[in-house]
Amino acid sequence: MDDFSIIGKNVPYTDAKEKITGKAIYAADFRLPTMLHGKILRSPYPSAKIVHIDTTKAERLPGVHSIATAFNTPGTKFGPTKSDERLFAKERVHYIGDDVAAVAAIDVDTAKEALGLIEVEYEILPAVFDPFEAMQPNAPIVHEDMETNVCHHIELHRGDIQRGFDEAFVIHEERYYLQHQYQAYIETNGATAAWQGDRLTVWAPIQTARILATVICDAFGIPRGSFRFLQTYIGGGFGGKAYQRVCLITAALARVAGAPVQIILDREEDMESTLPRVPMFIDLKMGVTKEGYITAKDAKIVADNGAYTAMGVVVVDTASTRVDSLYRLSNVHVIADLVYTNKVPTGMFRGFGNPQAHFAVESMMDTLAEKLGIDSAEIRLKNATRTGDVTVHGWKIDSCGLSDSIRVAAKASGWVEKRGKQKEKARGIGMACGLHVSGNRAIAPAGDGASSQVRIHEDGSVHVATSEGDIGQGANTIFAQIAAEVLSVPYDTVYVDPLDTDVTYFGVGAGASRVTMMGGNAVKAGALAARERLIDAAADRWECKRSDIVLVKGILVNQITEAEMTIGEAATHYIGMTGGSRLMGEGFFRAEGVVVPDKTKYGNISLAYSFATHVAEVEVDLETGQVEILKMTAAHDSGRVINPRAFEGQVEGGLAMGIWYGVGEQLVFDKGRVLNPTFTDYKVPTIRDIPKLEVHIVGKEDPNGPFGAKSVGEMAMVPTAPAIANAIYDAIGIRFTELPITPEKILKAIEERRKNGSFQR
Amino acid sequence: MTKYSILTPTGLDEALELLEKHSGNIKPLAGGTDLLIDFRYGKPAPEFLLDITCIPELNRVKVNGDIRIGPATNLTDVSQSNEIKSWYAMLAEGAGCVGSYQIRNLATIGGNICNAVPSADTAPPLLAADASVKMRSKAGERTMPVAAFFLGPRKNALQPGELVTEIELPTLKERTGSIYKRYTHRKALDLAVVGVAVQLTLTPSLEIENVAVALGAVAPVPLRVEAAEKLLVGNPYSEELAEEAAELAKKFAKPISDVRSSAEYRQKIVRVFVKRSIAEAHQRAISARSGE
Repeated sequence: MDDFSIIGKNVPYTDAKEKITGKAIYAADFRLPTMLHGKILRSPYPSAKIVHIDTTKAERLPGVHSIATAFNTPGTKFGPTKSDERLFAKERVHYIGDDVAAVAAIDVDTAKEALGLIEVEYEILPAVFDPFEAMQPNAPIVHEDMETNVCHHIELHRGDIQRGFDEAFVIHEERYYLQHQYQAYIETNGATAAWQGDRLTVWAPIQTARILATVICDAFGIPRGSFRFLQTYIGGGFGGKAYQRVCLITAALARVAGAPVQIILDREEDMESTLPRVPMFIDLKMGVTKEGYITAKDAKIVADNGAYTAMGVVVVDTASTRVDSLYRLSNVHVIADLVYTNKVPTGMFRGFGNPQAHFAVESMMDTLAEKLGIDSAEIRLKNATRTGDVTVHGWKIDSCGLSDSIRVAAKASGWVEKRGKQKEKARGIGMACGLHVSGNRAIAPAGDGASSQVRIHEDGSVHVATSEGDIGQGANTIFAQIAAEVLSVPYDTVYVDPLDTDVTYFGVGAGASRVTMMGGNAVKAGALAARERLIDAAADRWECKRSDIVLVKGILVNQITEAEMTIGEAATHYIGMTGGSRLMGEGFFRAEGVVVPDKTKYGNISLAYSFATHVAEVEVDLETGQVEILKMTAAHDSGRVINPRAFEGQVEGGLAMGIWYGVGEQLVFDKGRVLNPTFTDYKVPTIRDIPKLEVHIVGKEDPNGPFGAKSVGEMAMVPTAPAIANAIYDAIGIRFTELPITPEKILKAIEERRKNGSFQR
Repeated sequence: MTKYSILTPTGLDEALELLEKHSGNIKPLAGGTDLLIDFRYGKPAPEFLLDITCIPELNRVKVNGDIRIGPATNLTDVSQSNEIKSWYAMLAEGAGCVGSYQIRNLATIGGNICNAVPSADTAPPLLAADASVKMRSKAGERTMPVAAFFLGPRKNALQPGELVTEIELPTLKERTGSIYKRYTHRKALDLAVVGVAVQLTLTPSLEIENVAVALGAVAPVPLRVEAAEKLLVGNPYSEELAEEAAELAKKFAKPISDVRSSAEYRQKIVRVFVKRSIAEAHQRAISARSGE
């Protein structure tokens, strides 16, 4: 391994102190002079016609400043992938939570009170909640101006699916259901917006500035140059803050008010109106040879879009294809439909459709292995994608530690000793594998890449700016480590700027687990460019050849004369030398060889792919159905790890989120209404619910990653839930195909089998 | 915006005085971990809140053979009191599992019973303990069994002008063991889907001399399962007997279905948890004997 001074070291997060001491400014802490506070009036009906809106009484309430509705704001349709949203509902509301009006007042309580004074007359219309019903020809149409509720339909063929099944020795078919999962970030969504003439500034915890900028300029019809976005500290995003309408509603209200406005969502409205994970029904059919090699995979996916699309289209594309590169497949067929319903719009969430598809495939791999009498680890090893493969969808796998991750996770967890051998204690051990991208060209069709500016001040301190964004995952820490390594300066002299689109260059943002790969490479390039400028300055000062100069521990050394100069001195000289330019390196990184997938979704969409294996150990209480998760072992190939502690934090967080995706979390609906929009009834795990987590690093250097690094953030929860389902099966011999696997479902299944005699314990 | 004044009496008489003076416009505040949330959700607040936690005589555990707990005693103190832990383990356990550390440091036992939600974790232990509730107003004092204090969800027996002044737990015989077990979806910071308290006293020859089985969260008020108690009394403990008692408890429980659990599942949990609680209370009763 190369000898690095900062790469691979456990340096603390750049923002740890600010966050721990409560000094970090989050969306709700942000203040502007003369700022008003806004609240949103939401539809109480899943589908209704708006007959009349009367805001007179609300306007008369002392302290109310302005009220925005469809009647005084732009009515243009917009959206990140489909133009199916408007700022405010004008004639129709499409789900319980749809934005109808917003009030700006001197304080939040006044704004809230005013909401109750707005009179809206609705005419209730038929609604549809089930995606299968919504696909029926006579179903109520969610969007009155569309002909069908099917928002997105794809069908893909690869190889010869029929021949694949003909060659199979065992074929299995199953329907899997994946539920609505809420991101449950600590910080709810919110924004502050201010207009100066036609120029709009938004301060918000948004992960991907670029999506927001595009949508906001569409919605308000303003040029891109008139929009400025400043990212506030993000109290957890997990994909849920890739795009949020509250930024647009706040901007609309601020324009009507003629004053800056801040809107912070209550937890309940955040849970009822933001973008939880896209629920999916996955009908999966797979065939394997007698030896366990996969011959065919056929999937039919029906996904519940909710009332608006956001990024649902790409989520469904991901669920339809990504898992196919985990194993060596040749014959693949998939049909997927994304269907509008009168429920909360769904969207981006850690894994982006991939955990859903992995649950189906990785559950079925165990079923197939059992039917063949092959060990679960072995069937995975047999089929595992390997370094150098070009997968069924044309993905180039330049580094792949999948097989290593299976072996390491199996060995560390005592797989051979425990698998199938603890049934008398109702204990089980289960495994699942996964892969994820490190960037996804499909979300950046114009071109994927990243940029950086690395500026060196006269005192030698370093500023790094990108448009990527730290959402708590530690991006700024990784950037600072990379810049410090290249410039050979101490880590704590590097400062990473907050994202400000007026200053920073192009960036796609924190999505598709792309930030370390793209942003990291851009920062590396920027730091290398800055290093060249330092050498320029020193060569000018010393009147020597550039090649005489080396940079060692932040000091420029003339190898001939042994003269030395700090980088601060060089940066100072550079200003005089150039007539005023600060010493700056600009870094640009283009994802070479990555393509927008074609119509058939063929093409290498990412520069690198991460792999992992999770092993779950569980014990089931046969009388109550409760599952005790005893231990999780995770082995990850994320290439070279730049910050092991940050990496472990990502994996541990992903495991916690994945465990409860598997056994606990679910938004429950009744006729379109969320029945559990509070943390009292939507349970996320506490620290006591999380078992011992053991994290192993199995990755080797990836040829494309900065210093060989690949992604980890989303990968961390992709295989967790199926590992648990497989462990429960090992413990009690019952296969659960619907998430979450609750104690109530387990007990019901046990009792049914006790009744028919197939469960003897 | 919810606006109210908080009154901070330093003695019981002053508190009763204020209660009478502002009658109809005042509510006792005993921690506020339920009350303030109600206001946030739009329930109208009275003009005055009477903070009883600053009254020393309401905020302590007094032991003199019996145990008397002031209603303003916070749940951390209840769960950590040595006397309560050794005599009424079930109450220490009930108080110790409410909410989180932060909530238990504010929430009080008086607040927990006066708020009277069916899932209150101190209710089944108090019911199983045959606790009584002492109440006082300007007009006088009265005492009633805790069983009579709970009238329905969020309804208690307090009259206007009355304050709970003490919760009394009787002196216990040796060879008594108790336990509170609750079913929750996660291990902390959760509400009971089912709560079970069992207190069991053995004769010197190890027959069950006395037993109380109390259930929470399965009916509008916490319940004693007398049929199960009758079945157990006079017999030595056996698994079969506990199983039979548990079956009676299951039939007796009348839970509802909600987003937290179906009624059927709650009933099944009642059976399992009553059975296990009887077994563990019995074990504790035996060790209580051998420990002496």
